[in-house]
Amino acid sequence: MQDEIKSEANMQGKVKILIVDDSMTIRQAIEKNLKEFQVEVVGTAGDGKTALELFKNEDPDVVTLDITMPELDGITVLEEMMKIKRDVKVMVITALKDKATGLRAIQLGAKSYLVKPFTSEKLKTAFSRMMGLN
Amino acid sequence: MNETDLHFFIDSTVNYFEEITGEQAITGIPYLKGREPVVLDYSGIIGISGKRKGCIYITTTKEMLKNIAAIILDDNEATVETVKDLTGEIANTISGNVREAYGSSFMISVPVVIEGRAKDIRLPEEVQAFVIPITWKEFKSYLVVCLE
Amino acid sequence: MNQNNQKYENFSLDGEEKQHLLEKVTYNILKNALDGIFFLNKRMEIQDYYSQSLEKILGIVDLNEKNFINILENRIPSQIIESTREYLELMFRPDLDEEVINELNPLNETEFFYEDEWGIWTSSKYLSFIFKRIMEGQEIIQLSSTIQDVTERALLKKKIQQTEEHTQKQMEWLVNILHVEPEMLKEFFIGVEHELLNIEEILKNAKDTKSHRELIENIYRSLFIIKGNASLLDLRFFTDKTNQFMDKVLKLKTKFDLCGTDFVPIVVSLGDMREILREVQTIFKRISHFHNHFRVKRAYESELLIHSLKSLITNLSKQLGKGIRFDYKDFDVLSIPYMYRQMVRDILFLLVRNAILYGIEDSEQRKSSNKEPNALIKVASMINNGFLGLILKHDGRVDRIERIIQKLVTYSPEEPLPENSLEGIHVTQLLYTPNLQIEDEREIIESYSMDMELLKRKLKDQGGRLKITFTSEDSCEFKVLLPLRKNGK
Repeated sequence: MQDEIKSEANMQGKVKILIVDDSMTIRQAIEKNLKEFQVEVVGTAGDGKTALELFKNEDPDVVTLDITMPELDGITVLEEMMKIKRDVKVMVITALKDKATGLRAIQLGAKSYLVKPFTSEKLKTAFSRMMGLN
Repeated sequence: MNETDLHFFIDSTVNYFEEITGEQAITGIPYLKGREPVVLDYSGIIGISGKRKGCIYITTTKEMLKNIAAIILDDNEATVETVKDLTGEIANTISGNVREAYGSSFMISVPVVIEGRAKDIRLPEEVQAFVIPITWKEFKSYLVVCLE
Repeated sequence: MNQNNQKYENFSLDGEEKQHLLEKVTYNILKNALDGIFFLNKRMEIQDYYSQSLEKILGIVDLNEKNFINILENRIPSQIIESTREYLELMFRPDLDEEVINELNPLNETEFFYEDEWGIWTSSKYLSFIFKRIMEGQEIIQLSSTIQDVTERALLKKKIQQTEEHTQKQMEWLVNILHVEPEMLKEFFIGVEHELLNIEEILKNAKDTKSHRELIENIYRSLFIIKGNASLLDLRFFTDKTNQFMDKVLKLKTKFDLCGTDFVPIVVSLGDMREILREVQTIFKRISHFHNHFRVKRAYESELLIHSLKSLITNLSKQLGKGIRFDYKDFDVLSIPYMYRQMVRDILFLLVRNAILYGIEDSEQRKSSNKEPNALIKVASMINNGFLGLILKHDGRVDRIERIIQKLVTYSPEEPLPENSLEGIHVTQLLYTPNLQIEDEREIIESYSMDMELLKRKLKDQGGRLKITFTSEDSCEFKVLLPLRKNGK
């Protein structure tokens, strides 16, 4: 199954990904787990302001986005990203487990919502789903 | 704070360890925090505002954090930066998950990480603080909840 | 007003100009009114013309011909929806008095929830819906409704209610503590603080899961002491709260395989008690300066000692099913020096308790010993040869207890205290043990030894003496001598 996923990604070419989370550990964990999908990490950001700057400059295809962050929170960042590039695939990865936040994120245009704490498997499954790989 | 509140935080903490590490954390007998400091090597503090006000923090040892970092990152040599960062992330996750019960009016801040046992964490005086001892593998931590 | 009504009733709609004017006025009203205004037909459908702000207030657009009851679904508590349907149906019945029906309006003030497209409630407001009939001749053709946002008023009302409840609670506490002599109250607070700290320490230091039973017993013991002291002073609110706490501890007693989370109710109850103690102490501080200013005479304070002893005897004898008479006519409270007031209280409490628990028989035993059904406890005092003497005598005599007491040494100041003596324990802490009826002799010895040890310690500090005598009249007498000059000097 994993080999199938990997070869699919290969056929489609490398996907540019921007990782946004105020936790360095989580950024590293996401990067480590998604490397299997032949993505190209074009940037990582620890706050909303930097995230938007990188988004404008690097034009990623996919963004993993935390919500509770300094400078600008993830919901505001998501709104701005959607204005810049409507078809970007955003996976919100957050500790905020309440349904209202999740639904709001989807309403604003996020394609996937993953709640922390997450295992490697859950992250990979959610990513695969979002990318239409399974 | 009532029993249900305390259970939310305990469940959130237990769930964190189980999800991330696959190994259960055991909560010890909770008690009221007195004047004595409850501080281990690293402490991650989250401020809570909105309908309920207060703060929670998790305080733990370097060894435990290194163990967890090793599981998350496959890295047995986690740096001080990683360990500090992880403290904040654990605190953030535990309090964020509690929002499932309280809803979006339960607002959490970004985490603040304190290093070292010398300092005590000053909590609102007029609000009682509950200390929940947590044991994961052989490592001891404390979750301190101080909520109106 | 009548002239205005007449004007409207005679208003003719024939002229096109007047019609335009009417429409314009109506439009302006509906556009600018801050309240939600709408009209319902008999099928409960909202009519075309409604105020602009209605959509904002309800959080719903395009209300034309929407069923009002359906709009309320999932936005107000379900039991109110059914009442609303009934109420509106009644409003359309011309045979019923409008004013009477309006008294039953369930939407007079209700919490209205706003939801997003997934039906998740995101916020709420308090809205007031007022309905009036619109008549055409004798027929009710529509109901007009006005919706107002009364959130501020409702929240203020709630806050006032909460404050009133809190104030009332504090008043109850105040009334409860007013009858208690301040020194006794202060001592009570110290005692409670000590026990709560004890419970905190027990929880904090509970590392070994195997000792949960002991842990629970120790917590229960502390609560028992608090309850006992509160009962003595007739502090009902404290007794009630402690009872609730004790119930939670009792539940743990019956549980197997205890874990940390089982103690959550305990620590939360502990927190609640701390909070009550803090609040009561605040109230006490506020009134204590009045107390000091209008300080009662010493005689009254002294009467409290007798009153407390009486309460102790009444409560304990009731719990144990023993009948007891209390004779204190030879006890001169006023002759007790101020410096010994507290100590005398402690000693008498301890001795009375011991007498009732271990000395005095129950009515069956007394009957079989041909004794009077009610036992006698007598306290007396005297001043003699530079000593204050306290005597407590009772006519209970249980053989096994006598054997135990005989093992205890009559204490004098020169004797050293035994090793492992209790440190810093107040008498009142030993007044109450969880098991009032101890059958096991070993436990009785332990309990009695603890009490005697404490008494000895107190006497040692003052250079006092204790003598226990079994008289030939089948009774037991405790005699305590305290030097009137400190430490016997």
